[in-house]
Amino acid sequence: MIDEYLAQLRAALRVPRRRRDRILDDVGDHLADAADRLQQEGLDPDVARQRAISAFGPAMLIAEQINRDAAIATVRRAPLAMAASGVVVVAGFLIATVAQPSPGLPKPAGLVRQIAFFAGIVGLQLAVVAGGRVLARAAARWRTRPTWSDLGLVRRATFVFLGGLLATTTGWTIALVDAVGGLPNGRLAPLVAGLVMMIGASLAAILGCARWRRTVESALAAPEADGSDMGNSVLAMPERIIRAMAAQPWLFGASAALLAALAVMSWAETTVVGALPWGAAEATVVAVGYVWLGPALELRT
Amino acid sequence: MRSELLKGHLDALVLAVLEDGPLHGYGIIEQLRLRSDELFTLPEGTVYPALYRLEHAGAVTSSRSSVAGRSRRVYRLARQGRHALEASRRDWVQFSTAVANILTPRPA
Repeated sequence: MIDEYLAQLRAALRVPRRRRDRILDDVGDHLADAADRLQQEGLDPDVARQRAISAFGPAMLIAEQINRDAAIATVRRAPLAMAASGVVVVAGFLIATVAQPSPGLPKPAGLVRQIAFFAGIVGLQLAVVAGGRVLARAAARWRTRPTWSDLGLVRRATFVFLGGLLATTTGWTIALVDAVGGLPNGRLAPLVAGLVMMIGASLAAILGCARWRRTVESALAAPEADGSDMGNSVLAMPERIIRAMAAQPWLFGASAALLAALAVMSWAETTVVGALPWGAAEATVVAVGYVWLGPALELRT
Repeated sequence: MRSELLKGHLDALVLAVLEDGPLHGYGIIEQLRLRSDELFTLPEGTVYPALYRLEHAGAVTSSRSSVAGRSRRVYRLARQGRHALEASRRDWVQFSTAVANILTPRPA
């Protein structure tokens, strides 16, 4: 009887295995103690176990509370995990480029390499925006419990972040592998080490994101808790800044596009004229990204 | 007592129970029941999410110890938990005084 209850609880919990095992130990001990106490009071063993389980409460109720707390913890952990995987991908790329005589991709680069590198830059921008958005919300909730809507933002931002990181890793891997032909002999070690770092960090991010998405989705699927349990919606400085920018979407979008276009110009070519197509492409990407992903990341209404 | 009245106070109640010494989960439930004169009849399992929250926040610590000859996880109040308990007590005195002032019928 107690084993069946623990099996129900095990199936409903969405937490890492070690934590789940510990919870099941605690609950098993508790039910055994409660049943023993009831038997000492004269109850039949089966009745005592049944009564102990009923006093403990439905397995789903307990699991929902634990899952919700775990999901809330992801609001604070997500930006740290995102930052860590992003930094490792960028570090991997920089290490890989050590293999070349000068930093960055060898120039003049072919069109395939430039497009792949450009795709990686766009992916990194997506990842940075998604990670930064979650970081801003986490900072706003530093002294208060996250709200239900925060979980939704983390879920959507995780999607965007992962897509961006995978685009970066794929694009830069293609660009680096394409550049292998121009490498002098004996300089492959940094290239391989960098690629391993980039791909490893991306795989770790996929696994981590899948786990915390499951946690967040299980919490969102449960009935919404009341306000006292989930904290309030006090807005801290990062959120206020984002709201102020969202109130001026064209100014925000144009500034971001200009900055991004300038960054691409400095990378793609040494002349302004040669960089114009890349700058225009980047400005288009920023504008489309802002219109398309703005609502999902709560960057615009 | 309606269980929703306890929401928001359970963490502080658990900290208060642990102030007297380390307890395992079942012992905490028993103390809550005894010290509330059997008034608090929450599902017993709800104390565990509260314990895990408090442990995550550094307010309590836990370790496996022998309780009546059995190995059980025992929870202890940490220094951070004592500060949190003091703050909860101050808040509660203010809050309960204000509610009492409003709810107490005025003399006609």
